[in-house]
Amino acid sequence: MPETTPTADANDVALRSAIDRSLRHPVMFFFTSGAVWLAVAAVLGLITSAKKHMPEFLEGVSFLDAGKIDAAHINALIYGWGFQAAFGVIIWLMARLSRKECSSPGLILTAGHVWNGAVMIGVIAILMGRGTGVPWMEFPTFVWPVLLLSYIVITIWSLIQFQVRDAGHVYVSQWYLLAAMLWFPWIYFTANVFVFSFEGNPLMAAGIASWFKGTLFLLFFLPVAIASAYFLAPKITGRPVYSYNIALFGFWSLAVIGPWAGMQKLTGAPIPQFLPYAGAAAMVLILIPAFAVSWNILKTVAGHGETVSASPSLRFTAAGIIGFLVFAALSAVTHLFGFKLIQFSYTGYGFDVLGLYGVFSLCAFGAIYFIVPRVTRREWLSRRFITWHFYLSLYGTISVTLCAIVGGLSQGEGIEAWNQSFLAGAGRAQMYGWGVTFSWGFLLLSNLFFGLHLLLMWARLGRRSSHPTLLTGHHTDSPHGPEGEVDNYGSATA
Amino acid sequence: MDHNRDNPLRRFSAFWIALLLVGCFGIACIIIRPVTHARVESAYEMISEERLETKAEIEKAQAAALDPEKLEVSREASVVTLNQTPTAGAMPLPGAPTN
Repeated sequence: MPETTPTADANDVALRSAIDRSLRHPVMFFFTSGAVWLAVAAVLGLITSAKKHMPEFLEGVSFLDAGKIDAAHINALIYGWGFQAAFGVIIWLMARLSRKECSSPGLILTAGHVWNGAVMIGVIAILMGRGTGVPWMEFPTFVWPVLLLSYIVITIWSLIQFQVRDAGHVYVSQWYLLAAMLWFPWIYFTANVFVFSFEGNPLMAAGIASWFKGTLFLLFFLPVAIASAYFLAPKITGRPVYSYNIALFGFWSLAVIGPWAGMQKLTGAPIPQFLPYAGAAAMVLILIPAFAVSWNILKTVAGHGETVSASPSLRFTAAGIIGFLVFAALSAVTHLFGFKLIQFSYTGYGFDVLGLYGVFSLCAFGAIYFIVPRVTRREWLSRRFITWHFYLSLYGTISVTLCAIVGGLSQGEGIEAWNQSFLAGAGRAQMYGWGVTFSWGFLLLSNLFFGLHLLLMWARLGRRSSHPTLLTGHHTDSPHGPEGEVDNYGSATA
Repeated sequence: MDHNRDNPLRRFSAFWIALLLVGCFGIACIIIRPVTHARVESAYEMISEERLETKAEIEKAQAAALDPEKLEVSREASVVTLNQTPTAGAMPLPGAPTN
């Protein structure tokens, strides 16, 4: 058993340390710029929500018109924060699991800057009224090829690392990462080409745009979140994944069900009848991978309640996985029993936020709290900042989701009541709109804690310590030894 | 562990395989384009010919109905009327005191 000898252990630690060093700048760049975009998205989300229930708010400022700022908010959240957090997780996780150093950090960093520039131009263009108006693809049409090219330059090295990995086990996280890396160019290229480049039937374009919106979460953000969870849960608890077969089942059920989602938004439109039904069925059947994944992850960490509570990574990850279960359950119930109420109401926004924030972002935060100390060789400065970030994020996400979904259902009932005016239906959601606005305030506050903490870590102002930052107890009596010690290879591993 | 899997040739081929994988989505889009793009006739295009004919008829009828000489006479009469000094009329103005 050569892997268990002290020399093998030292070699392993040295390799891990070398991988972390090779990815330090790209990973930190993606995480910090993503955090800045998240703060921007939160500010825009706050204004967007305020304008929904208080249309006169900032009414004299033309670039903050409701239609523009709504699109800018969601695009900043997706392409500014979501993708960059996902890039950081993908390139680090794939390098670690393939056990290969990154050979092209400079190219990745350059592509990351190009990505940021394109997103910034896109958001400014939307605010100037140059958006396309296609949901989640509002950037002007010249932006998408730049984003796709940057994406390829950022992720292609991870595909190569996977291909040249040492022969042996392929981890569950690697399946999901590989799938996400290939699924995104498929849906992004297809959607943009058919909507913007090929002139065709506008109904087909609307259908494809809906499909893109439905699948972007299920086929990119969700797999990255699950990959992170499947890495962190066994790593931190020190146990193997509960069931390999359930993991396999969860993966393939997502791969089969995910691509059908999206077109349910077009129910009643003059498109082939089976498409909206297939979309709605997919949104119900998403319960299957949700059960499989969450059962597997939660059973892996079962019996380690204290570890889950103490580890920031595991705490965020567990919350994100429970978020996935809630997302799937709400999706199944609303698509089975109340679809008429959600099709044209505020509820869709609740699902968007639940998916992007309550599932993906929480898992991404978990990954960030694990990865950053390793690449910077510093530990997090403040347990309080992390705790505040966690509770405010959780509270904000639950509030936005509840207010938007419940308010949207009430609004949907109002819209369905034919003896009332449309405005009466919209008025039902007004008070819930206030709730969403306040909740974005909490999310903004939580992300200020997070962003500031991350910037300090990038500046390498974190604690010089071999202890992981735990959310309970004091570091002075930590079993890892006294403060101020950094091991020769990297930071602590728990 | 098998370290022989990692060599420059394998990395080079992996790079092109990855590009090909991503590129195949574009190729697939181009291949299926003719299947998905039947001739599109919008409602506007379908009725535009008829609408243009109607528009031409209306313009023709309007042109025929317009007599420039009569218009000029009418215009000159209006100018004379407008150039007159206004005088008090017999009709009471709205809101004016009445006897």
